[in-house]
Amino acid sequence: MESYLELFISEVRVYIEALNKNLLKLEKDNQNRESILELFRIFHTIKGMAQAMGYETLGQITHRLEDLLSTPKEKGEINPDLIDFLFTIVDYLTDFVRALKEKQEFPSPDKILDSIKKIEQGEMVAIMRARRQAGTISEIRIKTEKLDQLFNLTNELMIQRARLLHLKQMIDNNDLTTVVETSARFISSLRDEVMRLRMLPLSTVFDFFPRLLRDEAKRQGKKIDFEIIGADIEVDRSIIDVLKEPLIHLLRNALDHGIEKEGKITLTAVRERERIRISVADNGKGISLEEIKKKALEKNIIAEVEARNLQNKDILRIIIHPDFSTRDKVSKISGRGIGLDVVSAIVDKLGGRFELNTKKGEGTCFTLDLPLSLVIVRAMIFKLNDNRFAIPLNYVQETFYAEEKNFQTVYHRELYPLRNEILPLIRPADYLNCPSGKSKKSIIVLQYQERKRGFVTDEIIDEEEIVVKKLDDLVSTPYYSGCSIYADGKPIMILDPRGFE
Amino acid sequence: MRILVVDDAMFMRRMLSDILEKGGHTICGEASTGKEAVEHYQKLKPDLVTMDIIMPDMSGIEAVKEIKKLDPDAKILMVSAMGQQALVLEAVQAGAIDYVVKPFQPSRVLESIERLVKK
Repeated sequence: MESYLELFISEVRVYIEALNKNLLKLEKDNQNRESILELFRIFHTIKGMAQAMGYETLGQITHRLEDLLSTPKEKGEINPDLIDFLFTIVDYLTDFVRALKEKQEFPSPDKILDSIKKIEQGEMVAIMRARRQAGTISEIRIKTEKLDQLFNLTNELMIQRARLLHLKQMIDNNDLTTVVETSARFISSLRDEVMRLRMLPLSTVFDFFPRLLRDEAKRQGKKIDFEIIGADIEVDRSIIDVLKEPLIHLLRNALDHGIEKEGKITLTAVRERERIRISVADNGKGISLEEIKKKALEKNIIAEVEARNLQNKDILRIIIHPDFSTRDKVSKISGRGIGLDVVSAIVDKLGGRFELNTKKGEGTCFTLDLPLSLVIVRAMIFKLNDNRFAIPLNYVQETFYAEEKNFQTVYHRELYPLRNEILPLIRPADYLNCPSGKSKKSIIVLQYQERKRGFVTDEIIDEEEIVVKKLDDLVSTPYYSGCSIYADGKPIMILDPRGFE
Repeated sequence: MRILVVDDAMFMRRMLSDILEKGGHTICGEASTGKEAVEHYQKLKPDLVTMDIIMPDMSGIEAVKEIKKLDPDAKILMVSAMGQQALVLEAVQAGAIDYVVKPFQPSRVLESIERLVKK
């Protein structure tokens, strides 16, 4: 049984998350039939697993929950009190799994069983909101929604903070300066604390992988040594949510294509200031440029001419091409094979960077370079004519001045010779309808999706930390990824360079 | 025998696979939804399928019907939790040959399979 314990724990954890998600959905709409069915199915599955492990009480509880849910399942509607009660079940499950993991005594089921009995008898119990009353309370649970509200409010404060600092410069008054600066400091600290509340350790996702890889390796008859480094690093919940799938894919990829019979796979997370770098490395045979070239030619991804000058650094660009990956239709691990192109797209969407390092005979390492949060970004502020715009700093490589007369045009495409390279230029002003007559331009060199482009702007103003707000579908265009409020209180649009291709 | 194991919980698939492997069988594939089960069946042509009943994306019973349509001789063993007699009955009407109840006793699972082979 011991050997199944780890799998039991990791799988129930996944179900706990799914329960939470569906309960939250039902809290908003208690007639969401799909979520009710999902709850039923999850309790049913946990029941089966608990019985198999010999956890009789848990088996009993989940069995009775299934019964309790049979009416809502038929009616397609669930009583809000029952939803509340099910939240306490989720807590119980969480405690149960924790006890298993730490090899401690199981939490007492008495209260739960008592409540179930009352509900079965038709009594709606005032749910154990005062749970954990005994002793001092060192931990409380907060619904993620509440946390998000708090987070949004602090972000509003951050905007006001920037405005205050801006006003301070215009009004020369010592007292005002002191008050503004102190407030600004407190607001920053408050924001940092709230941000920290949203942080979760990477182990939330990483814990899932060892067993997964072990089983898959066994299935393929391979022997691997799997190491995880940096699982205790904390990142924003928004990032955690989307990490799992790309990482599963990269790990699978390392096992399928990197390791031949025996080898080592390392999953490493490193925090570098406001960013996190997560890499999946294997010590396998490495990616062969020749093979990639051959396959890319076969699939018409590159032309003959291009193939001749292909270098190691071009490999990534090719293997993330949607036509390149011969995707397994069925993946035993995830049940849905996703390709490197999808990994790359996800990373892109998060404002991150996807990197590849490979050496023949030494191994392959894929790295995801991601922001710690999706809500606060450092951005470069620039002007097109009299309008201000922002572009996330993670795309920006460098900036320089250039005279318009030095631009070159080849096949209707404007280019600029930058050192040894030819930099294709893009004029966002043409797309956004704010052209100016100024001939001295500031060029921002951007890198994204393995491409380099020069954005032609009129003036670069500053680098700022800005709070990203999502755009309404109504105003959304491919050119913008969001908007923010600038220090003077005026809105500012955030450009998405990919929209200008 | 080459067996396709269908269950939405990885935990259950693993436990069942281990029992079957110890009994000298080969696991030729695993599926976690009814839909996947049908797809895998077509591709892998297993000698036997073990089928869970309550799963997302097409229930085990629907999957039995679909598989039977593809291959009337398909051998399917239902794996159900306790208290699902009605559903098991439905599955048997749809074409499943036998059933075992979770939590499994390894000997019971292997016996059922022996019996199926002889049929």
